[in-house]
Amino acid sequence: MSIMSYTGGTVVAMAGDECVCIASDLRIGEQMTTIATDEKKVHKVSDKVYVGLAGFQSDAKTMLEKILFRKNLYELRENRKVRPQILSEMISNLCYQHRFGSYFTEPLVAGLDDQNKPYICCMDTIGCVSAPRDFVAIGTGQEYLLGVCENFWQENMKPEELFEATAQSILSCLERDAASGWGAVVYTITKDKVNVSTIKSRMD
Amino acid sequence: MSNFTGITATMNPLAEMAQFKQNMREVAASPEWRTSKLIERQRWNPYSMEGGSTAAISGDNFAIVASDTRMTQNDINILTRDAEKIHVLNDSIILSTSGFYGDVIQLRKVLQSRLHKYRFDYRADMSADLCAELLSRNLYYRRFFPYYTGAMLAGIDENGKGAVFSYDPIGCIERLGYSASGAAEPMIIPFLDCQIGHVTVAEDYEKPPLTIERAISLMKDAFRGAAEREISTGDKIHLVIAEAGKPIVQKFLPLRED
Repeated sequence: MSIMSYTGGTVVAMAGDECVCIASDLRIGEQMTTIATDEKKVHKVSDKVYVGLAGFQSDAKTMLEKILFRKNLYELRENRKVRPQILSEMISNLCYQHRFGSYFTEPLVAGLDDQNKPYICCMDTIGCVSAPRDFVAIGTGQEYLLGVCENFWQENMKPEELFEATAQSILSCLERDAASGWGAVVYTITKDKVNVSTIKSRMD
Repeated sequence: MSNFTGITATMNPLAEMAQFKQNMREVAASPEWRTSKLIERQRWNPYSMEGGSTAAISGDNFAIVASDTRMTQNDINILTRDAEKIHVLNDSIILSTSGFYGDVIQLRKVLQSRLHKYRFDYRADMSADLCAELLSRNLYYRRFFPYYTGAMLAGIDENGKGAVFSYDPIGCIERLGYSASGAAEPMIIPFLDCQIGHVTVAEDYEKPPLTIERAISLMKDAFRGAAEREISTGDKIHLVIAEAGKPIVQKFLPLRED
């Protein structure tokens, strides 16, 4: 079994009309054994910028510390909030600095920039960024998610529709991915508020 | 004789030459730079995978089966754009396959000859239920050198109901409402779970009935979604529709060709 699927976990993000949705499952395991059932893989970085870290969770924790450190340094030096585009570039550089001994985690960035334009991206373990306009998925349930998202995503979805599409996608994925599950948490980021909902899924 | 080291002075030249040639042959057949790992990798492999995906949905009085028609080598090289992965065995049985095409052809041949013999012996076509069991046994018969196929058998059963049977390569059989197999299986299955199994909605949610029209349009959506992301799936959708009391209908629909 690969180290990337050792702890399990899945993160997905979808872009809508002046809103983005980012969701993750809650399970953390050691291969087949479930260790915890309340581990969010989505973390707040700034008011409208969130990162998701799938893969090996020990490395994800370290990575998150490093991301927050760099983001704080950026905000202090520049005296302004970090934009998701900038953050993804920072994380990408951070990943590539460890080119020959990388952290086993795939980062995902989702947020709204200063014009409230949605931005989502994901990268591999060494920081190769892919920023499509529709949706991104990482983690053990990536393939399951891409299949459903492809059918559920539409252009210019409003926050309510976007939430529904994201929630249904991740629930469908959790149904089949044994390494992820135990409920999901969905963050809907709009220009004036962030809505957090925890959804029940299969509890096994 | 001089005292050169490394050469046995007493050896006769002809024997020496023969020995040299023998050594040369050995080193050519297995050069020292070939590590055990490399030798392992270069060993002939009896199996190959030609990609592609199939899916099947069963309803009250119908069963529909779909597959793409692309055949690939190493997931990149397209061998043909109209390979048929669905085989209509008789008026009520449809075999749909993915995996190693060589084994698919052999498996189809085995089933066809058994069906032919059944018709000869009993003067009737075999039913889907019976054929499902037959296929399971034929797969398990090759337990230790399996047919490398993800087979599915669909059709109308003895009671006039739609049936889908799903198999693993060694004949583990399960009757399901819907199933998928092949390269895009992980993409198609959760979509069908959501739309047909209704596993992601609340219990009081009103579930739309599964009509033949709905099943067909879901199948098209599933394949269009899969072809968008899975490179060995594409070119055409081969759709086969079996409805109780009606002849089997076959259709080809366009799909991404890149």
